[in-house]
Amino acid sequence: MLTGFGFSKFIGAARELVFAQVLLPFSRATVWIIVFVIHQPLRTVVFAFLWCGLIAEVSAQKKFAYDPLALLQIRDDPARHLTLRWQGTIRAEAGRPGSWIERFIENRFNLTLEPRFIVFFSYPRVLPLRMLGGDIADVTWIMARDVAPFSRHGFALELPWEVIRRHAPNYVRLLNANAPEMWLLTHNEGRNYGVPLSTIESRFPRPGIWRMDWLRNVGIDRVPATLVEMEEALRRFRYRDPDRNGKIDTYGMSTWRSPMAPDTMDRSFEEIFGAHGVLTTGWMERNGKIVWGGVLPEAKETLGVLQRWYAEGLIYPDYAVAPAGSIDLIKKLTSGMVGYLSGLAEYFSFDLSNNQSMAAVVASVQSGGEIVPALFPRGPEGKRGGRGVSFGESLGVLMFGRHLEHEPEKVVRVLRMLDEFAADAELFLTVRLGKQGHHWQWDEAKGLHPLPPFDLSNNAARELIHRTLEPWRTWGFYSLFGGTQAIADLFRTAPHRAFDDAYRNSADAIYDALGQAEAVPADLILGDLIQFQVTTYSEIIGGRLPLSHFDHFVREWHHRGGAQLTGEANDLFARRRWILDRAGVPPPVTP
Amino acid sequence: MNTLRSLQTHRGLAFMAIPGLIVFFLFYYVPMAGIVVAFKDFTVREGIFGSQWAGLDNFRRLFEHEGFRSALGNTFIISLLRLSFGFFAPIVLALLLNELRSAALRRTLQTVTYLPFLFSWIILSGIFLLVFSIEGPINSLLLHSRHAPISFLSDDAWFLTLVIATGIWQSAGYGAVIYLAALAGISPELYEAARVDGANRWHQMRHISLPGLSPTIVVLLILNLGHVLNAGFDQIYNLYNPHVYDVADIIDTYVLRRVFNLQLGLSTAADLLKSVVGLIFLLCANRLARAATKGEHGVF
Repeated sequence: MLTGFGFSKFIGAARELVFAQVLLPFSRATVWIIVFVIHQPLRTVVFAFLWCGLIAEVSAQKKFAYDPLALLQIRDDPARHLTLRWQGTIRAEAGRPGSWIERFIENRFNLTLEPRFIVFFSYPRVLPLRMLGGDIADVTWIMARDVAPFSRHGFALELPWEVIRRHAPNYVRLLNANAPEMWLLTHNEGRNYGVPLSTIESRFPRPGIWRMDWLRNVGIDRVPATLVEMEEALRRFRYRDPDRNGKIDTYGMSTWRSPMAPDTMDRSFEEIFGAHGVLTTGWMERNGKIVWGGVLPEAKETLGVLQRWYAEGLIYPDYAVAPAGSIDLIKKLTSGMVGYLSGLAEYFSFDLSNNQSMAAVVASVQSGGEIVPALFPRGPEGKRGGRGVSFGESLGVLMFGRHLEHEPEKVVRVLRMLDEFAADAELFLTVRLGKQGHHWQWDEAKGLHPLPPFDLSNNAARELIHRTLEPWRTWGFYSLFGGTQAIADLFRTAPHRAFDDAYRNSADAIYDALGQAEAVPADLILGDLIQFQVTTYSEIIGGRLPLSHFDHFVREWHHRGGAQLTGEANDLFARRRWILDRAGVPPPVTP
Repeated sequence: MNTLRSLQTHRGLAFMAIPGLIVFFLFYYVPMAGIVVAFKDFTVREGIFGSQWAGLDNFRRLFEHEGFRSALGNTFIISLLRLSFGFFAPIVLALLLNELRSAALRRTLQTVTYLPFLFSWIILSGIFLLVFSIEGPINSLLLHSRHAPISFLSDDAWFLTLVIATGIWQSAGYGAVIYLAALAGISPELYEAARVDGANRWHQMRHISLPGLSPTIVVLLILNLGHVLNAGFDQIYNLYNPHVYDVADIIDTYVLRRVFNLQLGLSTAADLLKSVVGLIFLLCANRLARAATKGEHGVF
């Protein structure tokens, strides 16, 4: 019986417990204030604690003047054995210590490597907390946006440009020739922190993907090339039953959200904005001034188009809700919810010989299912394009922990590694792909291909072996950067090259004028402005706000710090030459 | 002296309290020293004591910052909605359960309503995201009845409704336990006397059960008001998306983002502010309760 004596006593005790549980955490500050005001002995305890902390901290701060330029004088002594705690790139969480590549590098550079792995999606949450806890590796791969906070809090070692040029000249030459603007990313308040890492893949834009069978089913026999044609195709997808199941239950398109920055939606509808010549989350140059793309009139024009499309049901209504990541999005396409997806096409998506490729999955889910790469649609003024991530954005920054100011020889050793990787193609391929003939093979017909058992992605991931040179798929854990275009070209088969020339041409890329939005260190403002923009955009697209609200948004955007940020962006743009000079980038030759 | 003597008498109990006190000290008192960060331009490089004093700069920046103002507003709105709908749900549930004749049925229902409380929001949000998505079962039903699909998760009003409703669903059973315990404490003689006087079940509920519950209701209301700026972080963090930021971004999610951005001064200031507002509410509610009941009820 519930009312029985024993049970009610139990409930009473439980109630006490609940009260304690609710009361206890109600407020740290509350208790503090009460303690402070009324409870003399406890106040003494708190003060004693504070003072102990102070004394401990002061005694821990041994005065040590770090002269970063002293690194210039340090010579790497190959005979000296070093141990490196190595927090490599994300997307290597399946890796295991003791891999073949690890041992190879250890032998070659006289090192002991202690690799640490971080789960791809938890990077933005876990890494700052680890750093706060004082758990900083010798070498850490970080995203460019973290350079400013990590250097401000003293997690990152200052690394003057001269030092990198001295100890990694080959790498600097490579970077300066291909993506000099990347130096803006590691710059913070007149100093340089870390080495920008370059990639070869992300500078090419990625178009969307069409369901070709759907296009045929609704009476369209070629891939839409203009915005007008695209709109018509999406409309037919919505209302003409492209999957022939007798129901009007399909949508036109959904769009891509970057899993690394799900809140920014920086690549959502990129080709539609691109058709109007605008990059919505990035800095653009207009008449010699730097302006934010998201507040330009072209963005308003595009939003008008998207609002109309959304109202007609051409856009998948929950496009922003789905957990960020390509797998979920791809399911929308493969399961027949939508007939067009933005920003995901690459050569391997269409490789029918790989039964995990998107094309193979679509074909297996629906007989006759076929996908084709999209063309960037031409807008009303003939513009077209998608976000071309400038050389290196997605590969981030190599950061050295500040404690290395006491162990400069480690810095120099890593810079030498980087330099040798840049200079020696064979070495680079080995640290990235493993041993030729054992892990991988190359021939003209099949291109670069992994050998069994490393053809299974799990086996390769465990060994930290990258199965392709495309950094987006697996960023180099030990190889640091993405390689050179020459190496990449060597390994692309003829059809792959043809695909890239046709669909992923850098002529269609729209670049950020400062390399990346986060090049302007704007800790608080930028993230909030982007969020404000995303919310406003989705309200306008969803029809909950009229298009005319955009003008109000622009005023408010400037008022909320956008004006200040734009000023800082222009300052950085003006300072660009100063930074590039330090990094040894030759000035452009004026005829 | 009195305290010492009573400790002496109850030394067994006092001894058992030590682990709890240690936890309390370590996790509630020690971190309080960190409150000082709210008044500093804090960087890890300079440490808590080495960082420059910033006075009330962090608070000023907070209030200048549109994101915080809207988070504060959202927190109040969600909390008040929760309080106005969610607070009475467990009372009603407890009263209804209490009226059931069959003990077996009552126990079963109690367990069933209690069960959701045992699941983490990580799991529940996964389920709700599936159930309420565009291709989820709810929208399939709507589609079958020729109703246009509803974007429950991206429409502001629907999202708030969903947050409040699922919040009630998850915690009402748990809250009801407390009220059931209070109901169990009411003397059966009162009911017997009422029945003799001809009171039906409705009368008994209205004149015995409810007044019997009122001290518990008051205490819980006071405690809930202390939480007025806790709008339910676990739930919202796992359910929200950029579409509904303008209504769903609450102080906790705001603070979390600031922490990930390593803006520790700002986030501490925001959290401290939250605690202070909670304290003010708590004290006011306590005073009101004491005044209204002539000093009978109240937590302290």
